[in-house]
Amino acid sequence: MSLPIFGSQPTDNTPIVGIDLGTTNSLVAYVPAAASESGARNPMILKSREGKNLIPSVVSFMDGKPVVGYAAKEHKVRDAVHTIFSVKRLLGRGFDDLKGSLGTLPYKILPGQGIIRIQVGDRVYTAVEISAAILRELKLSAEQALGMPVTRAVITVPAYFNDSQRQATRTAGRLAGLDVLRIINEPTAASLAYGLDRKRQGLIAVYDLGGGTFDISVLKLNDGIFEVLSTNGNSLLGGDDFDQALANQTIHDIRTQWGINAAENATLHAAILEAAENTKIALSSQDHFTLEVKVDSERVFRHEWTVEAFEALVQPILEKTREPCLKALADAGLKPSDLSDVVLVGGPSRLAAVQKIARDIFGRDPNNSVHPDEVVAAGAAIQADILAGRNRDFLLLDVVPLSLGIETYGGLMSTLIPRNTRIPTVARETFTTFADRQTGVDIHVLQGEREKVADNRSLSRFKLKGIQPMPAGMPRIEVSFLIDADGILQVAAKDLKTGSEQSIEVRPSYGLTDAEVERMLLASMDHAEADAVWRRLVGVKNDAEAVLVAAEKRLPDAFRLLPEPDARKIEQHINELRTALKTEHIESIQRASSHLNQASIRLAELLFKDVIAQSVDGNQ
Amino acid sequence: MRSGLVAVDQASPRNCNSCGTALATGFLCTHCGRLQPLGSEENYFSVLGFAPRLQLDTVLLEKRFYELSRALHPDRFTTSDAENRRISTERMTLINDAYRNLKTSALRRSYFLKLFGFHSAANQKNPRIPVELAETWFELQDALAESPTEAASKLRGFEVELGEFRARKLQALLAIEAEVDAALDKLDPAQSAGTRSDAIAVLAEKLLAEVQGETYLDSMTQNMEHMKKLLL
Repeated sequence: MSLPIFGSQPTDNTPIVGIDLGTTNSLVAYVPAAASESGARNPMILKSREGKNLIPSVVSFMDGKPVVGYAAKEHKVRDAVHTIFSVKRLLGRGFDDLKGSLGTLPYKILPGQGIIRIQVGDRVYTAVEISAAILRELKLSAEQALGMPVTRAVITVPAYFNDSQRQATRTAGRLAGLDVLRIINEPTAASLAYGLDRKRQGLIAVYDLGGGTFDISVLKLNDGIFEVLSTNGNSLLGGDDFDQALANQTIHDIRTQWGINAAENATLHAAILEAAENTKIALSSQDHFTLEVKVDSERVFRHEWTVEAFEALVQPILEKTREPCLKALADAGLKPSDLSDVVLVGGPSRLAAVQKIARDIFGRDPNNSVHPDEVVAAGAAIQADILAGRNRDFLLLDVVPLSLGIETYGGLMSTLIPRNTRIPTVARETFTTFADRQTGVDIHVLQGEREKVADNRSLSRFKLKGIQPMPAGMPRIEVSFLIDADGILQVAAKDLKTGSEQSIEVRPSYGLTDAEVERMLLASMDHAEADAVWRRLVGVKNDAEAVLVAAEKRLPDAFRLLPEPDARKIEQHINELRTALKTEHIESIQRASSHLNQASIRLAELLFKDVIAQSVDGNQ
Repeated sequence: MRSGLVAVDQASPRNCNSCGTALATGFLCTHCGRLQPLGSEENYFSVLGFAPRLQLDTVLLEKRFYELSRALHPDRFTTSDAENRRISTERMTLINDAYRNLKTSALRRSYFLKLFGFHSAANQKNPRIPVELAETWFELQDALAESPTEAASKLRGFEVELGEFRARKLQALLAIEAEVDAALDKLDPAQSAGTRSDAIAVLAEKLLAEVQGETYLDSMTQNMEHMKKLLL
């Protein structure tokens, strides 16, 4: 079926570029307005102002002025305290999130509440501003390459970036003078470039190990439709961790050899990190390499690394990619053998160790034919071309990466939109009150995979007022979640009896952090069992409490209508249930509750007769 | 339980909401380029171009989903005006939900029943173990109390029996589904609008009973899997 579409002609002819804002390197790409001779709409990587494809994501301040790219990278060691790298790992995060997740950095991060601040000389910057400096360099490079102004862009982020990090990326774009038309996920972007060759169809997995994050996405490619089936990841895992592992080993060896604490010396620390990165890169093409660091004017530290020793060092890091891959496959309802291809993306995928683990997880040789550094930017350019209305053959159907829901009685998260739901989407569910004559309810919006509220991330809270006072359980409150194609969530709550309605757009100023997403996910894998037991306990307790309240209310009737020993028995069972409810023992609560029920059967019958008799009396 | 059988409107010729030109497709005016707002009569079946049936050609379902996504996804309207963008999001939301609910037979069944006014919770009776399975089940319970090795072997036996029983029940369910669909096919769409069909209501009741049986068997399978984890 082909349909003529109107109403979406591009409103102006300024180009929309695709940007891969990476942890280590960034790129900008563009699909030229005129198709190639074959009619293919192929993206091209735009050269940086330094004449290269890659722009290192490094910002160095020289006399307070930012320099970006290779020029800045040269300062990483020489002027370590004024040179910021890997800032993507700080984007949209708070100081508290960094503990243990980041390794040590030679530049200075200020402790404090809220957004992370970096001190450079006498100035303080946020990660958003540093990212904006990189984006500005990308914009200028694109303008120089294309010979026209560039004001609109599609920017990629890790699939596991949370709302806060996505918003921070958008903000950085705006600061750089770019209208960010869409934020898309890196593995999905990679799949667009991979699938540019239309012969590539079927089910694929994109294994994307970047500098700072790991993403896995499972997609179905069908005649230009790119349907994301599931996505998972580990946002605290990347090639940087290999550098950190090598650096930590080096710092340890230097301390053992000479008693010097290299981590306290910013310049030496930066030199070690650089030597570690060089060693990692060298070991992707040769089988041994000597890591060398000049410790001071007299001493040089040397250590010969073999590929085997390096692989043994990073194996525990790589092993962490297995669980997310298996989860993503399970969520898509697939076995590894259903896949027609496994695509490796990201600089670290050049390492034999990465190819090995991917082969081991998926039971097949991974495809490393795509350019691991350029494929994400190329995909972003293709999405830009789609949004510009120039590519009508391709379409990306994306999903939400994490479940969304609200808090319900008992401290439980009730999920409205499960992870991997296709967007745009809407979900509505009806809830009720727990207390009598309750006139307001708190709507607490949550993100995460765990059962208990406290284990998930709080996105937002608001209050629905004006509920008609009624006995508990009577009001009907409809909560709806709407997510648009941009992934922005809108939540509304409505009292179906009075029509009273409240809604908010959830734009967390300080959203779910990487570390939290990560902790939640890892924890949810570990604690699925414990969560299920806990949820059952809450359910059983709620039921038993209802039985208890009803029985307590009817106890005077018991003494009125039943022989005294029977009434005493009910009283005794009430006490037993009350005691049982103080424990967390499901079986004894259930037992006590069922004993009380049994003991009350006769009373219920008598009460029922009583009611009938009274109503008959009343009718006379 | 009685149910009002709601006949779903067959697509009737309509005119553009904006310029009045007769519409070729239900959602887009080829004359002025306006997307058409969703009608209140749209449901998951109609939005994907199907008559409400329990058994659908899932290959065709996917094809329709892709075609409609290609035409209506908000990415196609990024540079369009706010109204077209809003309608595109609204339509795509419904299409996404429809596709998710119609893709698997269990969700499709439960949506179908809801659409026709049958609510599975309404006549939920205390479920009992099917007689065919009862003997092995109680033997298994006894074994659980006495010897774990005995229980493990009983459990394997029960698993086979449950699997075979479920396969038979599934056949029965599919047969009723086919019957319901055939009965719906026979209804004259013009005549049935807003009327109820007793024949279908009876069949749907039968279907509902089977669906509830399925739900019970699902939880039984779950229990069994749990036991397997503990025992084997």
